[in-house]
Amino acid sequence: MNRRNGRMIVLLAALGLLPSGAPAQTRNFDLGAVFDTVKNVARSQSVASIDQDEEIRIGRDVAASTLSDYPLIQNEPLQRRLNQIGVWIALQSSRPGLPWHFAAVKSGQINAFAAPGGTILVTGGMLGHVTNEAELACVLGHEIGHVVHRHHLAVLQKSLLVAAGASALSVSSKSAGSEDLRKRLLAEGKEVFTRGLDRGAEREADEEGLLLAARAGYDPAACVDFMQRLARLKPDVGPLEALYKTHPSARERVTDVTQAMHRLQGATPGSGARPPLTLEAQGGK
Amino acid sequence: MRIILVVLLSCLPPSAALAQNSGGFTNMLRSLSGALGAGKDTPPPAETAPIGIRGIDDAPAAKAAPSPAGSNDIGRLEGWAASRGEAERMAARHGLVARPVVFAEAGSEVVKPEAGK
Repeated sequence: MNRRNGRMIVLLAALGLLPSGAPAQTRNFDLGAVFDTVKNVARSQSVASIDQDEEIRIGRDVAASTLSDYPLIQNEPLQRRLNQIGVWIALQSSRPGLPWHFAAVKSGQINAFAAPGGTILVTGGMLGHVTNEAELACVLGHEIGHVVHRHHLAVLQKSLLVAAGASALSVSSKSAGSEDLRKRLLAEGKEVFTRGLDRGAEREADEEGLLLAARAGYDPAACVDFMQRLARLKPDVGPLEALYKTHPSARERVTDVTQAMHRLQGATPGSGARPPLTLEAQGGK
Repeated sequence: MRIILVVLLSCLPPSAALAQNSGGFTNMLRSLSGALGAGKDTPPPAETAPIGIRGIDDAPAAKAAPSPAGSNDIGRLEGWAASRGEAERMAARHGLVARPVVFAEAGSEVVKPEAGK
């Protein structure tokens, strides 16, 4: 071992970046694990620094920005009913106290969006595609999962990392606070709102949707049925195009959700309700 | 080893929160890189960026403001909110009963699907 390498390993060990128990003279330590540790610590500290009030404020502004492009469906009975179903599902989550708001928006896309803080938008195309309330519960539960796990805030954090890296920008040198975070998130507008999350986040949201639907008394097998129907549609054109830019393929999701369903304790496939969906103007695209 | 240190440093996010919470740590590593002569050939840090995520430029961030039309819609949307009581009454009408459901821990017995499903 030459002198420089030896010094480096000693310093990394002193900083706690070497795996515990690694002999000082080995050079085959898991550098990937070191990176992950550093990045995860950084990410958790930054995202955690946004408190719930600020998260709600950010989400409200982002949703307002998005509604400019996805206008609300003007049908009060539909919107109220959607909120009753959505709140019932959100009550089963780990964040029942958030100010949950649900709205149907005009779009033929089969999609749904979640903003930080608890605002969730569902397209008319999606409402036209679900065949019963249990399937809608899976969709809403998925979006609630993104909010509960603060996935979009994590995306913002990644974006900030890239911005900082690309321009050698030191956010800290500009005294960036929550206002700066909020402005940066707004700058992304609907792109952040609709941006693809990583597959891990989507899988986590799928599992959360399944879990919440089951807890709310719906048949969890409806989630698999919905995914299977999506998988039969042509994936790369028309109303599904945007969805597949931001989500794993429906076939992967069918497999993942089916496996997750068999890990449920307290609800078996086929148990639970599948009330007919009586939302008015389901085709309000 | 120099390359390893450069890559490691580029993974450290200079976000406000991190800088406030662990600026000492970051600065220590940065001084360390200088002491070892790293950085002379440092590649642009963006090369280590996560795939599929792009950065937010300062210029659009500075101009960002909520849409007035969208803000009006938010007001309307909030007017449609359902209370806990309304949601619970809807659930009762639809025959929905909340139940304690969890995922089985890895290695524990899993729920078998019912026949025909």
